Amino acid sequence: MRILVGCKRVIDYAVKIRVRPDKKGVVTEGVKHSMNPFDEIAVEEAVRLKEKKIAKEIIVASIGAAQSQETIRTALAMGGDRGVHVEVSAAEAETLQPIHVSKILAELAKKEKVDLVFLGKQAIDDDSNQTAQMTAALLDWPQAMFASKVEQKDDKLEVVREIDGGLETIRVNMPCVISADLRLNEPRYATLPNIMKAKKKKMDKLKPSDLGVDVTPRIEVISVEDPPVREAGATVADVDELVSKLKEKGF
Amino acid sequence: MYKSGILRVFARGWTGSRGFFGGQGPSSKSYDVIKPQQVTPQISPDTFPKDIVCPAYARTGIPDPAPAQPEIHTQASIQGIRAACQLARRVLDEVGSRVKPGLTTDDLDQIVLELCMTHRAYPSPLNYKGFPKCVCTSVNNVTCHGIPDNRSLVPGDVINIDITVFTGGFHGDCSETYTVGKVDEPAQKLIESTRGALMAAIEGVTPGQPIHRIGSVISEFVTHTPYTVVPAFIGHGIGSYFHGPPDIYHVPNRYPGVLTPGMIFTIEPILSEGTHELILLEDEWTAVSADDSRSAQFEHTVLVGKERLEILTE
Repeated sequence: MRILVGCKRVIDYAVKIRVRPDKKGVVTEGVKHSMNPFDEIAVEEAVRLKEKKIAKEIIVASIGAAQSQETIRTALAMGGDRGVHVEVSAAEAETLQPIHVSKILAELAKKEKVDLVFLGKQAIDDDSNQTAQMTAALLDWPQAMFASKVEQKDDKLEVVREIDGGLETIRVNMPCVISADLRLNEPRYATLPNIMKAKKKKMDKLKPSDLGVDVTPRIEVISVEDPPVREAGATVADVDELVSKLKEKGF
Repeated sequence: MYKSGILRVFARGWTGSRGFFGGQGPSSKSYDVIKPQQVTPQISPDTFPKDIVCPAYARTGIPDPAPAQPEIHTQASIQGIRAACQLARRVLDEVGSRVKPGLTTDDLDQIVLELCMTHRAYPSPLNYKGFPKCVCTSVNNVTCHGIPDNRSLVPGDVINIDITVFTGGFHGDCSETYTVGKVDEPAQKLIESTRGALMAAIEGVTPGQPIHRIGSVISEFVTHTPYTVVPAFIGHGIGSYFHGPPDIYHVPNRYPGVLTPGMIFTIEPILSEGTHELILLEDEWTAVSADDSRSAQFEHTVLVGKERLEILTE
């Protein structure tokens, strides 16, 4: 089995997000970035599949500006075999949308003839939760989203999914697309020996146009604003008062 | 002359973080934030006395491959490694006793070289994968693999000296963190906690338990301190090779295998006052803390006995 894992460089989860003065986005200049946590989980699961000898090769892809290479190197240090950096300009990176990313990943999946595309369920900067689903649709491959367990059963994959009602177990044919949810695993630390090995691993560089994908934005961000400051609440003496206050507010 | 630059940060993510961490501004620390300085030319083993046996990499820089699985050593092997470890301890104690303000880390490297020559041993770090010196000297914010240079030690410095010697066909590896002159109380506490973490690991595991338990024990110990373990550096099997399996993580991990009598490896936790993230400098060796925080490290080579771990580098 050959796996394509996608990873995204996002603002680190621990950073306090600040809206830019021009209200067109958030401050990213000089801010700490790291691999999207759900992508780390996807990378870890791919590496575990390789350790179990179920997977033979792990190709790590990231679409973004130059610094995305570091995200790929981190994934290689965790156990990925080869990297693919689809490079866009910093300006293009800002307007990149799940639709563009899924088109690129779909083309890469076909080009690399992989059996499994493993992604994080969503990125923590846009929370879109779209890329994995759209990639599967573009490829016309089955999808297993929000995976909390992945096992091989004969020539299929049995995936336990986290859904609103609890857990759902499905079997999917390969090739397929899986998105990693929180409880799938706990990612490993990259150790120095593996970091040093990762430096020697191959990293291909491509442009979206090499894959025939147009990354012109289809969505324009009008404004980004802080959520309104929470107003103080009021206590009420009894249910009657609560009902009359609610009626006052028009409920 | 070599230049340094911020290359990349290697750290771990669940708590989020990997990625390029921005530049370092002027320091407001109570200690010297180290920036690497001039390193003298690397010496050649051709200048050593002819009766010193050098490891294969002494001239090529490329170590022989280590075994694929952790080695269960024979009695003869254990004897040989024990002797190398005893020498490593003697060298470390001697160098440590000479640490004082005004000495450069290169001076310490010279002392290590001289001691090795006297004892007819090869200083293992020299030319190992191209490492330019005989010993690793890591001061303050240098986390690990510091290269001896012409910086003079100043009072308040916290320095880890990591000695490995190759004698009789085997390597022995140990390190300690020393203080230079008078150091502040936070430094003393950091050093004591790090020493404690190492001893907790050695005393807290028994043969038959999983190898990865060492990481859990250290991690548990460190949760009761204000410090963080630096996960990128791991202990390693040792014998006729410098580094080999098993990988000894100092954080919770899933490394396979159990502690088996006859296994010999190092445990070498690094505790940091600040972040666990690192920046690897352009010299491809020096690892510095991403937020200039200080770290301390202690290392022993241990043998898994029948009932407990035995320290060979005592």
